[in-house]
Amino acid sequence: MIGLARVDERLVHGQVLVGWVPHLGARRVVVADDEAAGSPLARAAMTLALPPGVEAEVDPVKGVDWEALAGSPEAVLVVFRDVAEVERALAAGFTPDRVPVLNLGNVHYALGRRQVTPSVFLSGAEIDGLRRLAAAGFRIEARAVPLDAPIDLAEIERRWNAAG
Amino acid sequence: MDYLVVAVVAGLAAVERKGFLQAMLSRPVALAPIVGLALGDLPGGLLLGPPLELLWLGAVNMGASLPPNEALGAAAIAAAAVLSGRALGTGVTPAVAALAILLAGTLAALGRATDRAIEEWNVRLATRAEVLLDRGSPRAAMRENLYGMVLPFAVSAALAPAVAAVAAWVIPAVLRSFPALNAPLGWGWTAVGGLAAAAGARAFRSARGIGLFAGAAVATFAVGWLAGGAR
Amino acid sequence: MSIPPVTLRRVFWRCLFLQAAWNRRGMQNLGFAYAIDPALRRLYADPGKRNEALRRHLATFNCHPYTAAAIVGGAIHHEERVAAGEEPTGAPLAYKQVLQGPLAAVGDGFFWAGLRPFFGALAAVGTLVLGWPALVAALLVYNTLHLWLRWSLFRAGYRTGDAVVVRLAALALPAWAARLRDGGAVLCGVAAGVMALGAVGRLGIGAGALALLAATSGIVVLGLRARLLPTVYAALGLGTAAGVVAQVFRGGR
Repeated sequence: MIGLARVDERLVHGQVLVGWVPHLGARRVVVADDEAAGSPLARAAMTLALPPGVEAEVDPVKGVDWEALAGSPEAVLVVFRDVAEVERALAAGFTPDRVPVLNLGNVHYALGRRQVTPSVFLSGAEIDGLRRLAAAGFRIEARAVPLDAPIDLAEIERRWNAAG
Repeated sequence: MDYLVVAVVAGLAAVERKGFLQAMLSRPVALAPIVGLALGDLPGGLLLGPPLELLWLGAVNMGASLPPNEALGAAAIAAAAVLSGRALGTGVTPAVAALAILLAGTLAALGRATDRAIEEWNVRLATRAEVLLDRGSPRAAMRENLYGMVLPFAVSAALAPAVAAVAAWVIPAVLRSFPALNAPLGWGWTAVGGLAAAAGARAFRSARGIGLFAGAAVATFAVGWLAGGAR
Repeated sequence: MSIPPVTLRRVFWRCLFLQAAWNRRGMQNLGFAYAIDPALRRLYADPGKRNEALRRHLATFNCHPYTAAAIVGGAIHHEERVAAGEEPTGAPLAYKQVLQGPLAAVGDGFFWAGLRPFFGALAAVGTLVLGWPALVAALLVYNTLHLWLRWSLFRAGYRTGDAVVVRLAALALPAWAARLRDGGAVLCGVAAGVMALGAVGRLGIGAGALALLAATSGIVVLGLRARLLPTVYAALGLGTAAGVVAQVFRGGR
């Protein structure tokens, strides 16, 4: 079962391991990211912070066996770098019936991105991408840690428009 | 003069908490006694430190998500309690401590909001540093980093004494008008202490933690009880 | 060229100000540039080159304030190679970007969710039982440990660059964090017991029972994700009400 899919530019970090992993009771974290998968330093670093009993793997987006993850008996947490990567994964079999929620955690400021939550900045293309993902059936929310109140796509769009 | 002391201590605590060092000096367990010491009532500060620490043990700044500002809360509560205790001539009693938490505790939540506002405001410092760098003044650009400590200092130095002043006026008035409240509020403080310990245990997010917490509590109580009974 | 020790010490001192201008956009970007600046000044005699280097360290960065010292050290390690023409100018930035998340996770998990709250609980119990000397001792031990780790990480980052990950892995901090969390929960239990005993001494056996009851129901209610401050006020109100009842009961006898 995929407990949560998260968009987080920082990939595996404290909010993920201290916040979400215990919250979901997850035993496995899958980082779906081509860049990290291609870097020995990144692969070594990803396993640094894992609490005892939790495993992590770093795979290219097209290399993840989504069916196997969805069928695994234990909760799995999947992390993507950005919205575009989620869309690539959708094309590769990461379908909405395999995950209940798509969470936006950290998307840093960059030129052309507007702020929608304290930790999420999105570009117009990313808003369009989220709309397509929602149309495909994903439930989209933005929140950094489990204790924060989730913000849904309608509110994200409203804030994005207000920030323009 | 007292409020100036409170302002300086709360301001320095705000800086130590985030901008410089992070050596636990702004944690309630240290800060409440420091406030007590600065105001001439160390025992009062020591009474408040442990329960406030346990209560806010989970107040941790992870990544970009912000916790309540436990340092601002603890500074205001300790100052309110010490100054009220002095006005009453009793020192910090459990009843005074209970009322101080009641009146000044919400400042921790307000502090979270001001922390967020400061982080937004600090974007200007980073932007200005970029501009200065482009103009070829690297030293001035890097100084912008240090200016980031001014606002946290100022906000805490303003809020902590203000809230403490109000509380230090209300608390003695209440306890003078209703002295019968002293004993029940002592019970209220006792309940807060128990809850604080539970909040501390929860903050460790350990699966076994709950059992360990309960076992240790019962064992400590039983040992203390038997030792006391044998006396 | 390599950086003289005095400059390294200066950079480490400046690492303590990493979060001074923490901002929503670049987070610790300004703090990072501020910290590494003395080393860049050593490496790039040409002001244009130095400014260019400083500029690249203003990219968004966020990590745990303790473990970030390793990345500052490692970034200097890479900058030395950039200055010598052995590595492309993008190498220090790539290093920072890869390591910031994982090292933040190590720092958050070990220091913020393990060591510091453990010492917080220890200091609280120490203060309750032994008074201020125990508090001072707990703070001294925590800070000796934390500053030593911070400095060691910085030095390891500078000397070994990418291999700091191996060093860090060898410390097995997540396993230590799990032990500290268990120990911390025990300390909180001890604190509850000590406070309950104090309540017995002050107000009688009923108050001791109240403290333990508040601890038990606190565990349950907070486990249901109740918000902290409202729960505190509820405990204060219910406890005070219990005190009124106890007084009436005693007065009636």
